[in-house]
Amino acid sequence: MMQTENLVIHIPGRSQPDALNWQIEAGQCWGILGPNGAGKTTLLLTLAGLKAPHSGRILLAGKPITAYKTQQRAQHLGLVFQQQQDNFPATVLATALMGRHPYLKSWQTESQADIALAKQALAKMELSKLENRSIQTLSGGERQRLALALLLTQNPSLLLLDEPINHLDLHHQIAVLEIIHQQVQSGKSAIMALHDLNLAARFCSHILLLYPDGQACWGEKNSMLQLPALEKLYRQRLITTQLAGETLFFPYSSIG
Amino acid sequence: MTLNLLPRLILLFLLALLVILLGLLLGSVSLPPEAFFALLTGQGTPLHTTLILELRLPRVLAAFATGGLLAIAGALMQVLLRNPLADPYVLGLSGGAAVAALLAMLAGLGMFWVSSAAFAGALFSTLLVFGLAYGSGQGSATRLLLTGVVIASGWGALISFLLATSQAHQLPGMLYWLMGDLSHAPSSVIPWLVLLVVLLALIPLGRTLNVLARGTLQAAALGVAVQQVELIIFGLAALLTAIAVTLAGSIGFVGLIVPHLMRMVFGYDQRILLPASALAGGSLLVLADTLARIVIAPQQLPVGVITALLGVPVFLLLLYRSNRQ
Repeated sequence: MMQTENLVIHIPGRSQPDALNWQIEAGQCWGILGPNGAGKTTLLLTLAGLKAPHSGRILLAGKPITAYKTQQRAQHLGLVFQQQQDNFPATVLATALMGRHPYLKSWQTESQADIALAKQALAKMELSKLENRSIQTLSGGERQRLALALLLTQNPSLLLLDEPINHLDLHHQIAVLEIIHQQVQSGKSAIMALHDLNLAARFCSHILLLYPDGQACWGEKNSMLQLPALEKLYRQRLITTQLAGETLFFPYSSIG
Repeated sequence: MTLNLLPRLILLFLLALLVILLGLLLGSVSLPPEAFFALLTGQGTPLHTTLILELRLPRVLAAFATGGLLAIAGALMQVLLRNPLADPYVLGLSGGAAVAALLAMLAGLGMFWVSSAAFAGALFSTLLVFGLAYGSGQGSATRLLLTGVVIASGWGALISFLLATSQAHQLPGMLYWLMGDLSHAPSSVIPWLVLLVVLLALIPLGRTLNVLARGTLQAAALGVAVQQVELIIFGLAALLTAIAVTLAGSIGFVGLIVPHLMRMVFGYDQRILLPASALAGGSLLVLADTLARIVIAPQQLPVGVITALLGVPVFLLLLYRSNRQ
C-alpha cells in the first residue's frame, strides 16, 4: 500500500533523526504514538504528499507520491486534520459531498449516487439529522465526525488520521474507531496519530513510536507497547494493570 | 441541490432587467415607460432616442458591468484569503490605481490617460503585493493579506499627500474620482466581454472554490492543485478590479457586501453565488447611479456615496432577519 525509503521528515534542528524504512500493508492499522511536538502531524502530512520530506521518498502503490497528480493522489489517500477551517457557512451535507471532488471532472456536478454516498457516510457518523445545518453551528465533536464523514465519502484506500477521536465523547470515540477498524478489515489501511495508549492497543495492529529527538521504532503492537519504551517516550512514569488478559496503561501521579 | 435555487436566480435576473429599465427612464428628465416601448418598436421621438440610446444606455451598461466586476472580484478575494471581510481593494489595488490617476490629473491629462494610468497603477500594485508576499517562496493567505493592507496604507498616505499639495481647482475632480464616479466612464464593450468570459471560465472552477474555502491543506488533500488555483483566482480578481477601477474610480462597498448578501439568499455554493453576485452587484450599481443622477438633479453625486447609503440598510436588514431564523 505504502512504503517509505530512508524517509526523514522535515523538522528543523534535529541532529540525528532516524530514517524511516517503513512498510504499510493492506489490512494494517498503524498507530503513531509520541509526545507533543514529536512530529506526528508533520509525518502524516509528509506521507500524504502535502509536505516535502527532508530526505528520502514515499511510494504509494509502488509509485513515488510526487509522481501523482493531486487529484489521482486524493483518490488513493485521504486525510483527517486536527482542525477544520469553516469561515464560510456550507451545510453539513455539502461539506460531506466535497469528498467526491477527487472523482469529478471540473464541469461535472455531483450525481444522485454521490449524494447517496455522502448521506450514507453522514448516517454512519450519526449526523443525518444535521444534514442541512450550517457547519458553523456544529460543536467540536460534531465537526470532527463531519471530517470523518467527508473521509468516508472520499473512500480512499489509505486513511491518514490526525487524532481522529479528538473532541469526541466516549460513545463516539469507540464508534469512530470501530468504523476505522471495519474499513481496515475490508482491505484498506489506516495510519492514525493517537494519545490514548489503551485505545491504540485495542484498535491498532501496529505501532510506530516517534521520539521528540527524531528517533523512531515501529512494528507489531505487542512488541512496541512495552512499559520501558513508553515511559521513555512520554518521559512519564506509567502503571499497568491486567484486565481479561490485556495490559492497560495509566499515567502515574503522586497525587490522589 | 442547486436546482431549487434556480427560481431565485431567475427572479434576480428579472430584477436586474427592471433596474436597467429604470436606469434608462429616470434621470434629470424622467420618461414614461411608454417612451421605451415606443423606442423598441421604432416609433420613439428623436429626442427620446438620443437620450436613451446615446446618453443613458452607455452609462447604465458601464454601471452594471462595474458593479458585476466588483462583486465577483470581492467574492473571489473572500475565498482566496478565506476571510469574509476581504473586498476587491483589500490588497491595495485601488490605492495604486488612485495614486496613478491623481498624478495623471495633476499633470493635466485627459480622461483617457487618467483611466489608463488607473489601470496601470492597479496592475502595478497587484504585482507589488504579490511579489512581496510570495517572493520569498512560502506565501500564505495571512501574509498576502498583511502585505496588501500595509501597501494600501502606503498608497493612502500618498493620496493624502497629493490632495494636500494640489491646487484648489483640481480638488473636486480628484475627490469625485476617489469617491467613485461613473460620469466619465468610457463606453466600451470590453468590461462586458471580460465579465461574461470570466463568469463562463469560473463555472468549471466553482466546486474547486468551494473546496478551497475549507483551507489550503484540506483542499490539497481533496485533490486541488492549490497554488495554481490561487494564482488563477488572484489574477482574475486583480484584472476584474483593475477594469472596474478604470471605469469608475474606486467604488467601495459593492465588492464587500454583495457576496455576503448573496450568501444569505443563495447559500455558499460558488457555482451559483458568482453569477448571482454579478447580477446583484450590477443591479445595485445601476440603481445607485440612477439615484446619483436624480437626487440633486441637474447636478450629479458621485455614485460611491449612494452605494453605501443604499447598501447599508439592506445589508443590516438581511443580517437581522437571518439571525432570527
